[in-house]
Amino acid sequence: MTGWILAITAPILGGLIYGIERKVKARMQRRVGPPIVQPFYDFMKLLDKRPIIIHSMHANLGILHFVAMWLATAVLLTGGDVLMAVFIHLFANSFLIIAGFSAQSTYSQIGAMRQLLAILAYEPIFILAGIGFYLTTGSFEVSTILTSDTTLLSLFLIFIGVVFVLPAKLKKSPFDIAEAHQEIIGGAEIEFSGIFFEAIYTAKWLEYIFAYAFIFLFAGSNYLLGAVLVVAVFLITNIIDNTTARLTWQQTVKIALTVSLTLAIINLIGLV
Amino acid sequence: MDNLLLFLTLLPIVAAPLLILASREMFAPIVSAFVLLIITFSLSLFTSYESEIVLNLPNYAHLTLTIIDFAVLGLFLYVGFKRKNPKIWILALVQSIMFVTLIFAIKPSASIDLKLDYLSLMLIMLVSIVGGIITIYSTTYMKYDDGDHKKRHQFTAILVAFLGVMNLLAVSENLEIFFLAFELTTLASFVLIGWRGDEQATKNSELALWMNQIGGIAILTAMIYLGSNSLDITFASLVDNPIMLPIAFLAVAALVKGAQMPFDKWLLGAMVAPTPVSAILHSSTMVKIAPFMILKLSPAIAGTYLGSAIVVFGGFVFVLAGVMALGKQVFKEILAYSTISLLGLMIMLAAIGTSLSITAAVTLMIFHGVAKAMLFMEAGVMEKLYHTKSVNEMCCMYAKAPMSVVIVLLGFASVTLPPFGALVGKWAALEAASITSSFSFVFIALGSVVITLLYFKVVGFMVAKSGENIGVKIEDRPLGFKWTNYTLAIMLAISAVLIAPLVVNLFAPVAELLVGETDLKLIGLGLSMPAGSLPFWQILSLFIIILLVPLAGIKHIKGVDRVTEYSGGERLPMRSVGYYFEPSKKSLDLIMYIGIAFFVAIVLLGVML
Repeated sequence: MTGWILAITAPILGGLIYGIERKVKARMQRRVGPPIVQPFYDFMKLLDKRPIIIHSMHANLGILHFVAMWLATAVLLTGGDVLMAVFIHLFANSFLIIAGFSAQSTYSQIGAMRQLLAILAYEPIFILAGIGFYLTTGSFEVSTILTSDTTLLSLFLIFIGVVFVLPAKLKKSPFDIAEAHQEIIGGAEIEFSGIFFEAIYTAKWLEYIFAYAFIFLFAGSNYLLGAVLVVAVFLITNIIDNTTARLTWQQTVKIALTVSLTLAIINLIGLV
Repeated sequence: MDNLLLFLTLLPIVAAPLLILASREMFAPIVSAFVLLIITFSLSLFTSYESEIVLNLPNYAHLTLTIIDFAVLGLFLYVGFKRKNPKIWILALVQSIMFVTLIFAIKPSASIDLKLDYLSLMLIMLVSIVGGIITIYSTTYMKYDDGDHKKRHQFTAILVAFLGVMNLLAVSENLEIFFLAFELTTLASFVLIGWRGDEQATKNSELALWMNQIGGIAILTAMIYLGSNSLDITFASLVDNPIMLPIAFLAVAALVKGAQMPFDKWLLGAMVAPTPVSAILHSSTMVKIAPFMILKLSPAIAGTYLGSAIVVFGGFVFVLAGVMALGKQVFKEILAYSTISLLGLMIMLAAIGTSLSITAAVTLMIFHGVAKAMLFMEAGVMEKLYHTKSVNEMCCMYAKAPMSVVIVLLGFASVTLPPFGALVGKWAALEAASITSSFSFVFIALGSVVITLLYFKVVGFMVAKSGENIGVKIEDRPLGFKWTNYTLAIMLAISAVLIAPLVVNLFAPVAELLVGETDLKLIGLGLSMPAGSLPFWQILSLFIIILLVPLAGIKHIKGVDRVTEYSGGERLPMRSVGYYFEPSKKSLDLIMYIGIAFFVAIVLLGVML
């Protein structure tokens, strides 16, 4: 039941996390930063804008991206199969990628391609983490993982691997290739605007929930530890985001894959 | 039942020469009617199937088959000498000598000739339905090809006969008969690849001929070993009483037919042939011999060193064939490499040999067959109607041919995204690999991501478009290009929502047959596996989203202003370009050598154990 409530409110929770993140990031840069509910103000402001689109398919795919991302998050939060959640997450991202490619816009297409490469960089470790959960708890079901003993110690290297590639998933430095801030102007998102950008914007909040819920799983039934893990990873990711420069996509794929896979494989050898 | 089996195997072979006689106008309808008949037979075989059926052939049938064997080998020898290709005639000579030794000196015996079990039933269904549809398609496709109608009719007739050969192969329990069917598929690939008769086609067909003969030699070796030890030359006796040497050689034959590295070259060469050839031989039916054979042998090899070697090899091919495809530009080449890659996965799953992995392998076999046949057929449509072969020329296809794009997208999505069958197969594969704690899951994790990257970079390029959907009309196409492709597309789409009952009721019985148990259960219309689950609400939600995708492409958003792309404020003309990730020559060589090493290892393991 809690899972369903969390799943339904996930976009709002994600918005809050995003708001907190902006605040924390600002503080790290010795700025005051916006209020925590700023993402919701932005949301309202976007509603107000004159809606414009480049073509219907592009706009529709953006909405589907949001819906599918919500589904992926819901599968994870309601105790579904962790591997299936990862696949549905991929399913959700495929809409953004196709939308990105469908616009005749340089940055949109570069961004879509880079989004694919980012998936190449982070997806394997998430799948292997799911397998790690099975090898330690005997189930792929989130509901079982959350009632089992904490797996953090036995999956420690995989945990490090997941944290290592998290910037690629959350579009943060040093692996922020998909969006690359100003450099490719938002990548696949560039051609969305107004209420259609809203879908992409809130899907990003869901992405936060998905990622941090995944981190939470490592604590198993120890929810307090889970909360600590989430906060710690949140801070680390933002510190890294603030202090590192972006790598090229070649470096990202190479580094993220080698480091995370090496860690995961060493860890899994210990388990099987 | 026996009659149905006879119809499915013999009728296509006998009827094929007669079909050529049909007049130009009546040819397509007659072929279609005949194929529908075969499909009906296969369906009624399926519905009336209760338990295994064993058939023994009379002596004169054996004699006929042996004579055909000699004829085929003689033909290979003749081709080798005539084309002055030493690789072909040396291998054909070796095969002939081995075959003569086998028949006249060793005189092997088999307790069973033909056996229809649930696994062969699955292959027969795949061949008859998917292969049949491709045959119907070929009648339209060939109208766009050069050559007079006699030659075109011959082409389709060969495909029809090929269906019979594949069905025969599916039920052959006697290795001698299996060998014949195997050689006939080699012959078919030689003839069909070389169909266009130009220099490239000739070269590639010769490559296919000599490479596939190595598979023939491997089967002969297995038979000679069994025969000279006066053992029964059937699959069943090998499984009941596993002897590694013949099993290893049969595995080699399977891997050659399945175009695993370094034998990938013959499958790539098939590209030069008319597209129905790629569709029928190299994606949906013939290469499926590889996982089919390994599945047959899986109770004997699961858990052995030989089995582990095949598991690792399959996993290796799954990842690296995917990587090799990333650098390709020709659409059919990309499809061919992704076929090799997924075959690696199926072979690996078959060799793991647990109940779940076998179910996953069969699920992949069937859905990959449907999806690849559809994709190749669509490649043929785009080639003939829009003159595009390379991905480079496919930019912005959506504006011209939205239906083609939707079909390609569906084909790709069905292999990479939930809730489509092949993805459910991959998901079951991951869980199966984890449960057996074999390290193969690392390959699956990596390989499936590579395939995703590959497919989406291609499809992304096709959807690129500027401006509103107005003017995008669903393109018209000839009837033979319409319902053939659409049928497969509809099958893929509907199977997505019914995936759980399909897997549990249709594919899991194969695991029950081979390992005696199945641990998959239905929960409502959802799927429950030993350690994971896919509830129906998730399947349904995914399915609804998928149904909305075509709508997203057509539905016109009203009351919203249209703008041109912002593109960072730049006003430079934009031309979409594809991305390629070409592996270096050195790494390609390395991949080939590793493949050779695996083949050597498999043979050595067979000899030593």
